[in-house]
Amino acid sequence: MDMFDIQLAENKEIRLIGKFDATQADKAKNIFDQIQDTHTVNFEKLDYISSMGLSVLLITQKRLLDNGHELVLINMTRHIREVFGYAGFDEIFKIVSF
Amino acid sequence: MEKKIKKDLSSLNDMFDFIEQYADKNQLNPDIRFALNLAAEEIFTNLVKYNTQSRNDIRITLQKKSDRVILALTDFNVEKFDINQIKQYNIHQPLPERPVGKLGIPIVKKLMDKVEYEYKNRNSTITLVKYVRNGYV
Repeated sequence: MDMFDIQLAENKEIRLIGKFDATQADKAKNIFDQIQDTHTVNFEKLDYISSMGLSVLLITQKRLLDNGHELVLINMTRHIREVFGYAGFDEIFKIVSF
Repeated sequence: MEKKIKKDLSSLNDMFDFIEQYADKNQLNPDIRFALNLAAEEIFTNLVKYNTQSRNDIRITLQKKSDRVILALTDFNVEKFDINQIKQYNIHQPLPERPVGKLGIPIVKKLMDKVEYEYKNRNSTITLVKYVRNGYV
């Protein structure tokens, strides 16, 4: 699996790439902490996420929703979609497939 | 196959490498590989975070039987910490009430078919079993 990367694009999109394991949580949080309104998170190139990654998304979603904004999650692979289901995150995030 | 891994988050990649080597050797399919990587990470990070009494290496073992893959992690010279006794996480809680963290063990229990805990001579062993469906690994 690939190394992890996270990119904040100009069109209010965050792209997650590679393997998002516990060692990458701080790197991801630094990016998510910068956003203040609704953003799309594109999972198309993400192969893996663990509970530490889910926590980064949860913290951000709580903060944004307090101000009427949210993260919208798109293009998840089947494995990652299943992890979101296991955690019940499909009940607290809008997950869109194209 | 077994390996001892330094009890530190920075060793996570060593563990993933070990799992991938085992998966290649045994021609495990992507679903099983994903489950083994994720379950191993969740258990390992729990041991690093909560079993802080000793810094001994953690032993990871993987074995395949006809209908299952068995992953076990042993933490040496620690207090008992039975992951099957942890209060259940409510995955249906609304967002404001959701605690941050505590998701690892519930995910492992969904991913794997069996989660067993053994405490013997001050050593904790967590054994995770994944059944192979239709004989296809």
